[in-house]
Order: sequence, then structure tokens, then C-alpha cells
Amino acid sequence: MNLRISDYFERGKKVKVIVNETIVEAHEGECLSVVLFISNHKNLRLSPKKRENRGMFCLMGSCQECAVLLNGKKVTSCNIFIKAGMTVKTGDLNES
Amino acid sequence: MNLKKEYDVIVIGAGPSGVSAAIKCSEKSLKVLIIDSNENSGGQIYRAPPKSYVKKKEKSLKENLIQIKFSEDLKKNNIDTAYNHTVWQVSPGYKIDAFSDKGTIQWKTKNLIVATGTYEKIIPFEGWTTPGVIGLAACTVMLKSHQTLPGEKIVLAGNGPLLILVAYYVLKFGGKIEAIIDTSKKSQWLKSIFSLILSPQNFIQGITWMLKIIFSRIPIYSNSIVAKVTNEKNGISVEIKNIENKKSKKISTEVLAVGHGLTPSTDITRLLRVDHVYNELKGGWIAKIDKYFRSSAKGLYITGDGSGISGAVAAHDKGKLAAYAILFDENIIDEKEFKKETVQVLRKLNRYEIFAKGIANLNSTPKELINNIDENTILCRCEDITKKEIIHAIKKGAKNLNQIKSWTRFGMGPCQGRTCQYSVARVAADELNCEVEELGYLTGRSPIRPFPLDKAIGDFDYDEITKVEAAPL
Amino acid sequence: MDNFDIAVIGGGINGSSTALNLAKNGLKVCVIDKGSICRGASGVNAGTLTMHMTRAKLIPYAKKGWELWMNTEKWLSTEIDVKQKKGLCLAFTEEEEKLLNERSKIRKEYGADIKIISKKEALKIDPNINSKIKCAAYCEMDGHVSANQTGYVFSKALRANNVDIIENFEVSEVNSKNNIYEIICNKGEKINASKIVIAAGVHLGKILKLLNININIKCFPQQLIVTERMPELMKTVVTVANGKLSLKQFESGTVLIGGGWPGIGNIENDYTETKPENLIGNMRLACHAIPNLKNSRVSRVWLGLEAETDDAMPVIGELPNLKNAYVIGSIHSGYTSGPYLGLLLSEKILGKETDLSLFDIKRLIH
Repeated sequence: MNLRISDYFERGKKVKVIVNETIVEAHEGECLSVVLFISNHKNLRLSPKKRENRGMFCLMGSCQECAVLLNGKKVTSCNIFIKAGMTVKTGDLNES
Repeated sequence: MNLKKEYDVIVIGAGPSGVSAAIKCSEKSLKVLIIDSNENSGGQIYRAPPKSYVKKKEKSLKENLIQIKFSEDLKKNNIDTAYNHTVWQVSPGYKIDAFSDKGTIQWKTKNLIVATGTYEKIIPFEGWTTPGVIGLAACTVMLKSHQTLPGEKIVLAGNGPLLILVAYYVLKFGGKIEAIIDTSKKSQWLKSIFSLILSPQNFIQGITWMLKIIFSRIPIYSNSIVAKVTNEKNGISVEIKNIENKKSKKISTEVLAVGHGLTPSTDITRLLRVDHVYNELKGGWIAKIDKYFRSSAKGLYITGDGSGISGAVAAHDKGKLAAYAILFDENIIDEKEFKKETVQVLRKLNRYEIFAKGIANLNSTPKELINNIDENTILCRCEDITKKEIIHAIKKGAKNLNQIKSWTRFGMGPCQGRTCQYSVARVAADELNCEVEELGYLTGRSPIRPFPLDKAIGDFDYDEITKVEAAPL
Repeated sequence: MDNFDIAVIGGGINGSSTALNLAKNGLKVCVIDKGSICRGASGVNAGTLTMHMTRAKLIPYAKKGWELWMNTEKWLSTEIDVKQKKGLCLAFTEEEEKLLNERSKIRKEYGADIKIISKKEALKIDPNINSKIKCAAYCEMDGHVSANQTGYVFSKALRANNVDIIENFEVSEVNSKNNIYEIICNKGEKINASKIVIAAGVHLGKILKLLNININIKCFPQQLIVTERMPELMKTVVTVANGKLSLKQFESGTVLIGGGWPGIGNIENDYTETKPENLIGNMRLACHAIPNLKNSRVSRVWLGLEAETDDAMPVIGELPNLKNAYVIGSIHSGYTSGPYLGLLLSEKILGKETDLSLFDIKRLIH
């Protein structure tokens, strides 16, 4: 099932981004958090003490749970918009 | 856009109340700047789709049309806009520091309107940190702004009108809802309908939503909560518990969207150390304001849902009142005009307050949600602090939220307690057998959002830095 | 209320260390604080245990303090996050190289085991530092403590030794009647004690005035910055020649940036406010020292109020013209030396021979 709804809006052109060395297809300008969530990359990082999986939660830039490494720098992925060729690292961001 | 360094009025937050206030101020020729961390106006409730999305001509969503009008009105009134700018600090006077892709910038103003809206309250339960569990508001944003279903199969849980709104949109966009877990009893919905009547527009909308849900025959579990969530091979398992008969049932699903009401954002007001009051029905701690939305600090006005939850339509009028207060305080309009313009708006707002109270009762946090929190459940997600650790600190003598924070590290992570402060306060109040109010609130700290160091430092030469005196020997 | 043998006014690191040792020697002690204990400078400072930034004359005391911090199980009976690390003090320009050589020489004379090493040697010890340095000062006796835990561990230790902790008691009056001190708070409650120790931190001047002793205590609002958790960014505690940077990375992965860059603040309601230009200056210096710090984000900024006397040296010892009244405070790098200097003062109070002449308050009274 296509989770992207196209009744009301046309999305940007199709681009490829790299997530943990695998290619993920997305549309230019889509929200990085959302793309990761629907592309089988729900696990974004590990919690500091218990090392448990964490992922997107508030989608409003408040909770900071959706942090990933984008081209080496830590970012809040729900504030990031897809550009062709982005390199994203999720999982163990060495937060401990 | 060439932004100035100083403005007559700065508005932080381009949602309905911020936009309304900005427009009213500019109508009297004040120089206004409106700042938002999003790419566009609209706030959360009318959040615009990403800029790369192009609107199709045939169909429109009502919210999108409202947001488009916001942008047009802002442009028409020559209001400067600073989108994609995240405010990280506000100092008295007022100086506003923000960062964007281009670096860091500071603006000055004598009149600051804080219209930063609310956050969602989500009361913890075992497994709430599992990826795939998202907020109800997050689900709303994903649907209405990002035009994306979170999954093929969704379970919705919580209380309040947002539950119906989200269910409606999931169905509208062709998603499958496996269950709606509602903390309220069926009878409470009747009570809320009466308050909805006072706002006909909302009433018709509400009935439409409810009918669609009833006809879709989604299992609705009233008087129930999510007891816990566990990981499964291809998704998550949600355990539903009935509050009354304690019976439980498990459902497998892909995504759980859960929310327990809204709480006003007080990052900036706590940072500025203005007076706050506690009002559970209005969402928790809010800045102390008069009926024209003046705070306890000169030149600082708090408006919209951030001044107390009343909804988007009321937010528009609240913004207007705050603007009139500025115009009067700056001697741009006289007392006669001030009274004349505000009397009608005040009357309208009073009507909304009754509606708001009805919604607030649905929004309130049932005790069962707090009682359901197991001692091993994580309360502070950023720092992995469990309920057990919070209780331990209290048993060792911590008596208020700031002391608990100091001893446990709760609230010291990147979210600065936004996600967990309410729950920790409720748990602590139960343990200490006191009112939530007595525990105080976490001291506001800069930066309001994590501040990227590369944006902070910009380009510099080493000689530029050491302008501070060397330490003594 | 019963008489205490000693009332310590001010529950920060100095007051609490003094109280703890007195209690261990069998005295009936109370610690009074206008808020929660160790929530002033003691709870919010950078927790650096370095010799590179310690006042030269205070080095012998800081060394003893350092040893106490490295062995907290012996006197605090509770675990606190302490870590020994090597300390590097960096020089980026020729001028700084000169300054570093001069200052390190003096600190060495006072007992700090500091030696000047080359850029190559420094990069070997910590490859993360900026390769543009000219040279560095190196000391093995360095490290850090998580200062925010101070209140918690001292509360436990004090209670375990039967010390009464009286919080939210703002002292407004101190009277001496029949060889007993009567300490009154602004709500009217009273505490009696045979001896008093004034350890009121940045409020020292205010409390001493209640005893008709006038000294000037300056208040320095210092800014501190902490980043989000990051992978390893540095192996050492990093400081710079002019003393305006302290950098350390905790086990949790967060990096604490300090160095005494001032914000805005005063002792009225302990008011503090961030000064953005100084934040940015501090961050620039930090990123210059450890370039990869640029990949991280600031998670929190806060301020603490630091006390300093007119000659920037501590006041510790007996108060003049009063019987059984003592003072301790305004110790630069006081978090490092506090436990040891509190111990020294407690020994003086217990009647043992102790030389505190360097810190006699009489030199400052006007």
C-alpha cells in the first residue's frame, strides 16, 4: 500500500538518499523523519543508558528523539528536508 | 528578504494567534517581524505541507486554504518573516537570538509577542519509547501537513477531540484503524457535545467526524487505556486495559498514535522568569497574564493556546487582543478606541471559554493513566530515568522539581523536560502527597532548542576571540 | 529547639565539608541553607579538577583536594562521578607560549607537577586537539567531577553522620546571647548553636554584615555550556594558556565548556542571564581547541555565581572580635580544594594546630 497520499499535492522530483549505506528513494523536499519512518527505518538511535531503540515521536521539533547523523552532524530529522545525495546514519550514534 | 536588526514588534510563532497579532499591529504602521522554525506560517494546527509540495488544482483541504491566506495577509501587510529560524535564546529588553542554515542572528524589540502554542502531553506507559509509538499530534502533522499515512494499520489512543480528528483523517486518506482506545466514558462525549453546540462551526464538523467513525465500525474501547506496548516481529503489540473492570486485550498493529491533551509551551516565559500560575484545565503551568494577554513583564505578551488552551478560533481573537494591548501601551490608540475595539473581542472570547472548558474536561488526565505507570517505566526519555529513580530521589529528600532534576538528571537532556515534566510532577505529587503546583516548574534554560555549534561560531579568526581578560594567576 | 554544637550557615561544598568532618568527630551539627544544599556554585560549576587554572598560591591545597576527590569512598561514603584524566593546557600563539611557560613555571614552584611539552607530544596524548598549537603544558593530576551530584551525595553523607540539614531557611539575623548564637530566619524561626561557621558562598558579605563585619565580596556570573552526547571528542581535560577555557567530556558523552566567560547576574534573588556574545566567544575558543566539537549541538547553558574577595584569595578561619565564630569562602577553584579546606577549618575548630594565616579575614576588613 502506498502510504503517500497524492490527492491534494504533487511531491517534488524523485531522488535517492543513503541511509546506513543502503539506498532509500524519496521525493526532494520531503521530511526526513517521515521518509525514514515509512521506509522501514523506524529505529533511529539508541537510548543513552539502556541502549534501547528510539525513533520519531512528536514530529514537532520538541522531543529530540528523532536525532540522526546527517553528513556527520547531529540533526533533528523532523526539521530536515530531503536533498539528493544526503548521507544519513541511524542506529548507534555513539551516544554513550 | 532583507531583515532589519530592530523592530517595533516581534512575534515568535506564526500560528493563528501570532499571525493575527502581527497583522493587527502592522495595520497601525508598526514595523513587525514574525519568526517561525517551520518553513511557513500556519503553526501546528494549520501546518503547511513542505515547500516542495505543489498544490493540485482539483481538490483542497480547508486547513491548507486557511494557511495560504495567512501567508497572503502577512505579505499584503508588509510584515517581515523569518521562517526556518529557530529561536534559541530570549533576553530581557528584548533580544531574540535565532539560528538558521545561514548561522546565528539577533534581533531587538521593545514589544515581544510569544505565540508558541502547545506541546502534546503523553503519559508514559511501559513500552511507550518503542519506535512506532508516536504522538497523536504527530500523527495529525504527518497526515495533514506531510500528506502521509504513518502505516497501513494504526491504533489510536488517548482522550479529547484530537482522537476524533485523527481518526477522521486516517479514514479519509484510506488508512485502516484497528482500534480507538479512549480514556473517556461514553457518557462524557454527550457532555462535550453540549459545549460544542456553543460553537456551531465546530459542532457540525465534530458531528461529521463522529458519524464517519461510527459508520466505519472501528472497535472503540471506551474507559480504557494503553497498559503497555511490546515489540513484535513485524510491528508492535498494544495491550488495552479497561479502567473499570480491569480486563485487558492485546492487539497487533504497526503504529500506535497516542496523546493525552495539550500543554502550553512555556520555554520562553520560564527563560524570561516571568510569573507563572498553575491551571490544570488550561493545560498546566502558564504565564500569568491579564485579560489583554500582558505578562508580568513590560512589553511581553503571551497569546494563543500558549496562554491557556482554548482552540484555534479563539487563538485568532487572542492575538488581536494582544495587538490592541500593544497599540494602547505604546500610545498609538487612545483609551476610547482601545475599549471600543476590545469589548467585542472580549465578548467573543468569553463564549469560546465555555467551549474550551468542555474540551478541557475531555483533555484532563485521568488518575488511571498515572497509576498505570510501572516503577520500571521510563519517565525521562532523554536520560533514561525511570519512575523508580524519581521516587528514590524523593525518598532521599528531594522536595521540588528542580531538586529532583539536579539529583536524577531528569530534564537535563536535549528536550529540557518538555516531554516529561508533567508526568514527573504528577508522579512526584502522588509520592509527596502534595499538589502539583507546590513542586514548582523547571527553571528555564537557554538554548531553547539544541543549538548547532557550527552555526553558533560561524567563520572567525582566532584573534577575534580572545577579547575577554585573561584569568588572574 | 535544642542547642547545636555548631551551626554551619551555607550548605555548599565548603560548608558541607566542614560540617561533615565536625560531625564525624562527634559534634552535634546542623547545616543551614537558604535553598537546597549545594545548589549554588557548588552544584552548577564545571567540576574541573585541574592544576592548570588553579591560583598558584592555592596549589598545595588543590593537590590535597584532588586526592580527596579521587578517594571519595573514604570520606563521602557515596559514589560520585569522578574521573582522573590527563590535563593539557594549550598555547596557540607565540605570546601564549610565553605566558604558558611563565605561568607553568610559577605553578610548578608551588608544587604542581606541570611540564611543557611539544606539539608532537601533545598530539600523541590527545590526537583530537587542534594541530595548530605551538606547545602545551601537561599535568597527570587532572580530571573532573559531576558537580550536579554534589547536593545528593552530601545530603546522604551528612544525614548518615547525623547532621541536621535545614533547608529553605534564609538567615536574616544572628544574635549572641550568653555565649549562644541565636540564628533567626526571615520567617521568624530560630536555631541555637554554641559555634557558627559562615560559609554562605556568594552571599558571604551579606551574612557577615549581620555580624557587623564588612568585607567586599565580588559576584562573578559565570556561563557554562554542555553539549548533547557525542562519540569520543577528546581524551584529556583541555584548558588554554590565558585560562579562559575548560573543556571536558564525561563518560556520558556530553562535553562541558567553561572557562569563566561572564554572563549577567547579581545576588538579588540569585538572578542570572545569558550573554550571547560571550557564549559565542567561549564556543569559538572551544571549537578552536577541539575542531570536531563543531559537529555537536549545545544542549544547555546555565550560569553560576562565583564569589571573590578584593585580593582574590580565600577567607578561612576565626572571625575577629567574636568568640566561636568562623568563616570559609571565596576560594578560587574552590570545588577542587573545598573538601580539604573544609577539613582544615574543622580541625581548627576542634582545637588542633592548623595554619590558616594565609587566609586571615582581618586583611580585608574595612
